[in-house]
Amino acid sequence: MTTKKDNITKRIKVIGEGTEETQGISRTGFSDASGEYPKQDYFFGSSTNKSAKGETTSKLYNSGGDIGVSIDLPDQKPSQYPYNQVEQTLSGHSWEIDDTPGGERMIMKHRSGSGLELRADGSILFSAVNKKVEVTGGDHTVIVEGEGNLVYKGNLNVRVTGDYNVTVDGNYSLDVAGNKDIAVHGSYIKEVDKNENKVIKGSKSTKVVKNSSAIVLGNTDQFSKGNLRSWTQGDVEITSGKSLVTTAETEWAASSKVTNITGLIISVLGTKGTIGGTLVDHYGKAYSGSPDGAGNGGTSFYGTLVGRAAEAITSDFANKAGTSHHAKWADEAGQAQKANAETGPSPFAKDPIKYETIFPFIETPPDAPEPTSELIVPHLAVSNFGIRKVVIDTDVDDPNSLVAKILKTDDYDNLFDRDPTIEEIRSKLRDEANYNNNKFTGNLVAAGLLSSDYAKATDGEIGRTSSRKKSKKFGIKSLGNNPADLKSKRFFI
Amino acid sequence: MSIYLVDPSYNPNFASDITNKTVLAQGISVAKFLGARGSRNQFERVSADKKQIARNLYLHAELLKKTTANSDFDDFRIIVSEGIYVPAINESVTPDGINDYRQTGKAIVYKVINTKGEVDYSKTYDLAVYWKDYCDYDKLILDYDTYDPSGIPSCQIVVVMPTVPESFDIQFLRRIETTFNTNLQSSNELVELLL
Repeated sequence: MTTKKDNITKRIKVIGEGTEETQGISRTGFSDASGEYPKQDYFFGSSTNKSAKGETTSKLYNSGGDIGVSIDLPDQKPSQYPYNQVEQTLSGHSWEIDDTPGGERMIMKHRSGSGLELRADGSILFSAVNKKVEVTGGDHTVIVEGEGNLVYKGNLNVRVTGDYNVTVDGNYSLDVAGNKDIAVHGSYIKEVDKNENKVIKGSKSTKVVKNSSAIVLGNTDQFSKGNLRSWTQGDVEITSGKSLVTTAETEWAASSKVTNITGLIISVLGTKGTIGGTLVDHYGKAYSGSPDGAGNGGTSFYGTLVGRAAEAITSDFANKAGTSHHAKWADEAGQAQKANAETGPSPFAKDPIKYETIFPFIETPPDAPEPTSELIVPHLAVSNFGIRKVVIDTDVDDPNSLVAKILKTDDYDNLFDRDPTIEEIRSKLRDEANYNNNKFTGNLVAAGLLSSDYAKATDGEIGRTSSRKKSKKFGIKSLGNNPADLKSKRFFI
Repeated sequence: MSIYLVDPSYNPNFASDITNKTVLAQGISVAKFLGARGSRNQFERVSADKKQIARNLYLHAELLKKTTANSDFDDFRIIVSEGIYVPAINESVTPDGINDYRQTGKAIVYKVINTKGEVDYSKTYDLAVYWKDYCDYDKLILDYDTYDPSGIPSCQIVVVMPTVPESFDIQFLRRIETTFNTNLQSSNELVELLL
């Protein structure tokens, strides 16, 4: 005997035979000397472990899957005696090696439900009721031939002190409900073999400390519904291999301390305005004033003109003048109101002499038609150089506007800015205001995101019911001191 | 009113700062009530008093802890399907509605998922009855719906807890009801619908 009750003789002396008889070792020798066995579940029955007989099956903690994540394992065939070798300790830890045909498995189970199970089909279930810590001193390699699912109900932190290399042979999808922050302390290289589409529903900001370069070998389109501003402290060069057209519906302004506009053919047209300045030189072959309707030029000229004039109202010097109201010096005058006495009286002719105004002068009329308003207005409206009408998008309140389509504001009445999942819809519909929002629900139904039966008031048959009173339970725990195998199966509250 | 006994290790009143990492019970952090499929939110976006939220969520964490200890649900996972609610920018939340309560963590919606990753209707009813019998709450709603256009019905449990003051002096009203597509099917009774 090796139990703690070996000292029976001594105990009888100390506590008396009567006491010892009630506490001591069974005289038959078939009972556990420690008094701890058999367990209650084994009273009045075989002491062979129930798992060994297949009456019970040891199971590890296995708390269901997650939505769309199955951890379903094939059912385990009950053990057959005597194939299952079970070793179970006092507190409930167990170790089983089961050779039951068709149900071969091994299980090492902690009393809490944690453990390791090698199932008949070759599956391995590793279960931890509480924390699981895995420490590897050397390398760690995982090869999975099938699919995998990782679900963390809390936060997940991954730290790699070396390189982190991910190779995806299929698609790579990332769905982040909150923010995504990327900090790259070295270079960031992105190569896209095909297309890249980006939709930003808020604002976008980019800061570049040094240089920025974009090379586009195809076309580049830039549309801005608001203002487009470009500020450069240094030089700006806009160069085109072909045409460069800039138009503005309201105003176009180009200003600089030194402004150059150069062209082999140049046109500056306007119905009114100003060209020139105090020290501006004009070169050209013809100058035409605007006609006054009678065919006469209505243009005024102020200042000094060195050259030839068909008519001069005031002239400091006129070689010849058909009519000169005031000339300091005239070699010849058809008619003069005044003449300086020093030069002698000028011949005064009642009938003015009409001089030929084209001495060596040859009239060279302009090549282009006169830029009258009749010409300029349609030119601005419909020609290739006309003002372009720009409409980027209609107002956001317009359900057909691009912004409304991107933000889906009208689709979901500002409750979603994207196509929601059924779980998100269910969440929104918990508010009666949203549930009764016909536009919201109607569009969801139309988009195929919500069942048309969503408002159905009742459906299906009624199964079990339970009132506010506590439910009656059947046979969970035996009442009183009834042996386990004779449980009364009574109802109790 | 009665004082609810709080595990000092997880008492939100003692936490210097409430974040999504704040632990409310063993293995249950605030994050559990944020990343639900029906309400994917970040704690930073929540405008309500975070300590108040944490105190309210503490009762939900206790609910989950008690359920985990029940072997009847060993093969099932109780997930938060609709957690803390953050309304859309221009959304007006109906006062004292479920979504209003969800903003402060008073109300949370749960689902029971089996090992195949599907909602288990029968076990959801069992869980609702278990919570009704053995747990504390203000209101418990067994909610069925046919919202999914694929035709698969859904079943979930909405649990509303009382607002938990700093003193944890609270009273549970323990009201129950059953709804289908938000329509009341039964008050003061949990009814299993066989959809």
